[in-house]
Amino acid sequence: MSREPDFEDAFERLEEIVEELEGRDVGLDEALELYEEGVELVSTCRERLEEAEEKLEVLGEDEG
Amino acid sequence: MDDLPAIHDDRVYTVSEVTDRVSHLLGEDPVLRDVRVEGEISNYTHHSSGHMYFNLKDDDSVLGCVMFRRDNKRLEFTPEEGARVVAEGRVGVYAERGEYQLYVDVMREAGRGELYERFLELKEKLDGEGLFDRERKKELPSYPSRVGVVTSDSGAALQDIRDVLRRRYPVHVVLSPARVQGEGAAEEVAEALGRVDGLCDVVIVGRGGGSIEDLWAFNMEVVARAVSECETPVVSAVGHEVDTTIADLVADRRAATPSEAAELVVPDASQLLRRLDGYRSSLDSGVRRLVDAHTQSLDRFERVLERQPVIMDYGDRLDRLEEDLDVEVERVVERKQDRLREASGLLESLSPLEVLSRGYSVVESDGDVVRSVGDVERGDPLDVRVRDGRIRGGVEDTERSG
Repeated sequence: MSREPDFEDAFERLEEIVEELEGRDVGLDEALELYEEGVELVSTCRERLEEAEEKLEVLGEDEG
Repeated sequence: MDDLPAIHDDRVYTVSEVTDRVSHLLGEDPVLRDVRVEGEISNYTHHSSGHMYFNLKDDDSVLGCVMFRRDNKRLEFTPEEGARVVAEGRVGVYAERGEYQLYVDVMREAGRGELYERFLELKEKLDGEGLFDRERKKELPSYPSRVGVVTSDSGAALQDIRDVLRRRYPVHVVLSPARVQGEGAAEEVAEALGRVDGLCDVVIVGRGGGSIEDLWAFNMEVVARAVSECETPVVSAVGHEVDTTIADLVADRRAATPSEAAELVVPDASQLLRRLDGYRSSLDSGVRRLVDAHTQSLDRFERVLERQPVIMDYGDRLDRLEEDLDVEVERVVERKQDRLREASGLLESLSPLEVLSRGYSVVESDGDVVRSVGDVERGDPLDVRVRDGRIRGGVEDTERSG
């Protein structure tokens, strides 16, 4: 089974990052690092959502 | 009534009093207060008020019946002349007509009686085992990547589910095919559930709409057990709005139709993409605001530096540096992450402390750092250390400031 906790985590992490960047006490270095991480997460998630068509797999009757 | 002792009573009663008495007697009777009557419908009228009036009859007798609107709304079939039904209610008196009649609360088709009884029995049994308990319900995953489907591979349900998924969110559909009606359907559905369990993030089990008989597999114990034993969250989608099947009760979530089930199990990708866009612009504006804030503190440093005469000369340079910084800031925000690493390095080198250290120079005379006017005299050699080398000279004059 290929659960995607990554995807859920990515959204949570993004929310965190945005919140931090909106705060006052972030150094420039840290801000840029957060920004970079955030931008990467956005594009990873975007890729996943724009992935190719839904696929169909049919389980064989004899497997049970 | 024969066994009631006769009471001699010369009083003359009104009609209403007699009727009340009859009514009272009927109300006292433990059977007539709540009775199930089987019979054939005749003289059926569905009045414009919404109430239903009809007779129930058998070979020898007729029983007048009324079923009020609020009760007949829940009927699962449309009564018609000659239909055999079981009506449940109380026998009472309709005073204005001097008639007694059955006030029907619930009515079902007699032909379905046996099935219905079995349904109720099973429901009660499984309920007793706690199979319908809320605490047992598993949460559906927010972002599944594999969606299991247990239904007929030729039915409309599969197409409906796939259509919705295709439109909404990219997933892998794992079909575990099973016949959903007819002899042996229940067993097939149960087996198919077992096969797909664990191979996906969430399972939809169901079929498109049909008559209650068509849906019957989903009222069978073997299906109920299979649903409850699934480790994977199960969404039932037995296409029938009115009837709740046992499978619906055991499933972690119930959808009225296969399409609705598909909508339940996946999020809407376009909405998520909009959310991502939102995050993206928050990131941009957040980093820009922070960079602006840091630029402003740089301005403050500059003003402090300008008040120091020794460092006055560096004011221009600082201006240039600041302009450079502005340019870099623009680039950072506009050219996005491929430029970020580089911009990050640049910005770091332009950070206030670095600038400050570049702005200061160390002046030495004969190897000692000059800290005060008093450290040197006219004619002493000066050795000015700057970032990229040394400048040599001598003291022409000294003057104490302030």
